[in-house]
Amino acid sequence: MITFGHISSLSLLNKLENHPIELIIPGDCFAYRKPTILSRTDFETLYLRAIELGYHPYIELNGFVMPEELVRLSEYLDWLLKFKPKGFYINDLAVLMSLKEKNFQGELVYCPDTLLTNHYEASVFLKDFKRVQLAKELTLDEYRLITHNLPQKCEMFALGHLIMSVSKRPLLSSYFEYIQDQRSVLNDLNYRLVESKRSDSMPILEEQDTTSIYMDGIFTMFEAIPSLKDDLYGIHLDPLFIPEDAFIDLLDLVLKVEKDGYDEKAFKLIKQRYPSLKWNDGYLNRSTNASKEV
Amino acid sequence: MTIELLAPAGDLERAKIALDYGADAVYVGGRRFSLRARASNFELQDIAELVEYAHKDDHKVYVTVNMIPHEDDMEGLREYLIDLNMIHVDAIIVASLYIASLSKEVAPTIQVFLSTQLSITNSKTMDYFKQFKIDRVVLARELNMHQIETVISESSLPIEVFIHGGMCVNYSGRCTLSNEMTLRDANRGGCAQSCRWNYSVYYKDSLVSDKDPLFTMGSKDLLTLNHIADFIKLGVCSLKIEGRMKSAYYIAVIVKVYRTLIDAVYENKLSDDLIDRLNLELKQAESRATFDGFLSALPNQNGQIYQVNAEGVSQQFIGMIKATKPGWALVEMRNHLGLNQNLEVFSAHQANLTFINTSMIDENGIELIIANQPLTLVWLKIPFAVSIGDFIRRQGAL
Repeated sequence: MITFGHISSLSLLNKLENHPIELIIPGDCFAYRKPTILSRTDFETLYLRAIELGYHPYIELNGFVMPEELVRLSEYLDWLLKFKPKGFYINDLAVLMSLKEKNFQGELVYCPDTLLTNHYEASVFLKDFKRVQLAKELTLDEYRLITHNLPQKCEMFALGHLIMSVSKRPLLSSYFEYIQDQRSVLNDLNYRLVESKRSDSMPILEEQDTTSIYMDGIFTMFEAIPSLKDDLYGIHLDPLFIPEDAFIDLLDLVLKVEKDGYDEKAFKLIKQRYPSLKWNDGYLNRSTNASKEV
Repeated sequence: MTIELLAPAGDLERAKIALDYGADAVYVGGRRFSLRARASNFELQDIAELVEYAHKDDHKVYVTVNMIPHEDDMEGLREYLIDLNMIHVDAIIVASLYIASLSKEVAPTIQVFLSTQLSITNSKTMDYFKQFKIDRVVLARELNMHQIETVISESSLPIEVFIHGGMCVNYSGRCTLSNEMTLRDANRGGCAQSCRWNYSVYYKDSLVSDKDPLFTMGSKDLLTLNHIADFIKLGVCSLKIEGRMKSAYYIAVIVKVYRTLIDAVYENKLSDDLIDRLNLELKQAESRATFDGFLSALPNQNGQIYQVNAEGVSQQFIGMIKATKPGWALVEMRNHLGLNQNLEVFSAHQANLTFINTSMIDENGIELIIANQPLTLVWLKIPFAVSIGDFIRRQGAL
């Protein structure tokens, strides 16, 4: 099983030397969840440093492409292809079509966040993609079933704050504008939402073209890794909103679990080392097929 | 070919009303495989009856099969599609390419439309879907008019756009707020509209939101009267109204308004005065503040509802006529009504007519001074002919 790390910070990247993982670096445009990669220079610096460290990164373009951006997308892909990426993680199928036109021979992985919820659907996209990244709102049983039907074709999110929504609207700045608060919110990782009747503190990130909201605790699935590793191609670790040292410790634990099996004591030690962090297991053990009584 | 006006319906009665008031087509959901599961009251025989009713006047019926299914949801899907084919449903609306492909295989006479749940924003993405023999694409609601024009000019697939009703604040199909908050899957018909709830905002450990209003993501509803002529000019094939959970009265008003407007465009009778009057008419049925979505510009604070009662909501609707006899109409009541009030009949078949409510009698023949029990049946004395399916409301705009 391959471990993928989503990296958008140079300082974190510098701490990843000699880790047996694959790197995914977001593009500076046509992507979101990349608050520190704001220019081609930012991207280039990060990408070339990854090469220096011995990695052959993938590029993630998880954004939506607007009609007038298709030409710019094509030009941007031409620029990215000069870096000879190992592959692309794609949300908008326009990126797939453009890469096909350019006869890109690397790996293409479809990662639309929510849409791939069964193996029938995944199979459809596997005609055009080498692999798919499954939706995040699946139970462990569903992950097992899908990956068993499509061995070595699926990847899943395994560590980080689970994304819950993505909007094209500038939701934070609109609100602060409404209450006449002139604060800056763009690309700031320190904002949290707390729903009126709940205590969860949910990260919210406003970027240039999107606002995204995430679950409170850090999603982990250490215990589930052993039962999935035969059929699952890879797992994704995302450090967004996680302190760098904690992320490195968690990454090391993931690699240890992959090799030696689940180590509850080691996870407890990490929890003790970072007492302010919260944890959850996402939807692994809770189905979301409830319905309102009417 | 004229542009299609496509209306929602949560049950057979509302579907027939939508068609009677001017929709060219209706979209409905069955009890399974559909979003808005709570709004779906259509058994297969209901859909069959609706298809028969619609096809008599060359109207169309589309069925939403637009859930994003998990493994357990697949049972019975093939049979359902075959059944829809047998009762001559015109199209299904899907968010799953697997369902699209399966439908093409087992239900070949049914057209397949891609739902806005797929958040399709450009022509190149539409090119990808052509291999699946898709018949129509419902565009993402995040596009402005110029972008819609660009997509239409670059794509050969027919384009449907939303013109009215509730808006997801997030990219459709990419939101799991409801899953986390309530364990109800927004992509399987369980959306709890958690985006409309109230939230405090913290920066690091400091509270930075106001107490009133708190932060919310709730969007104003879409209203596009000023853009309909442009949609027609651009070559959009279908104009879609949102709201399968909305009332019969809401459906009737919204459909009639857009029908009137579309007809005026084709007859070169469009005027600012007409749009103003239709705007007033819409406000009689609206329950939320409205704006024109992304069509003019990226929504800012003006596209959000931060204070629920910030704009007045009209409560003019009195009831729907269920039966008639000379000089009288039996009305299913929805709001309180006293004597000697100015009322208006809102009808699919004629211009609005007004009268004064001089006499009310309950089902037992007892005269009433006030009718204030919702869903009871009350005879109203009306000095002109009316029809079953007409609506009674306090005197309004048109």
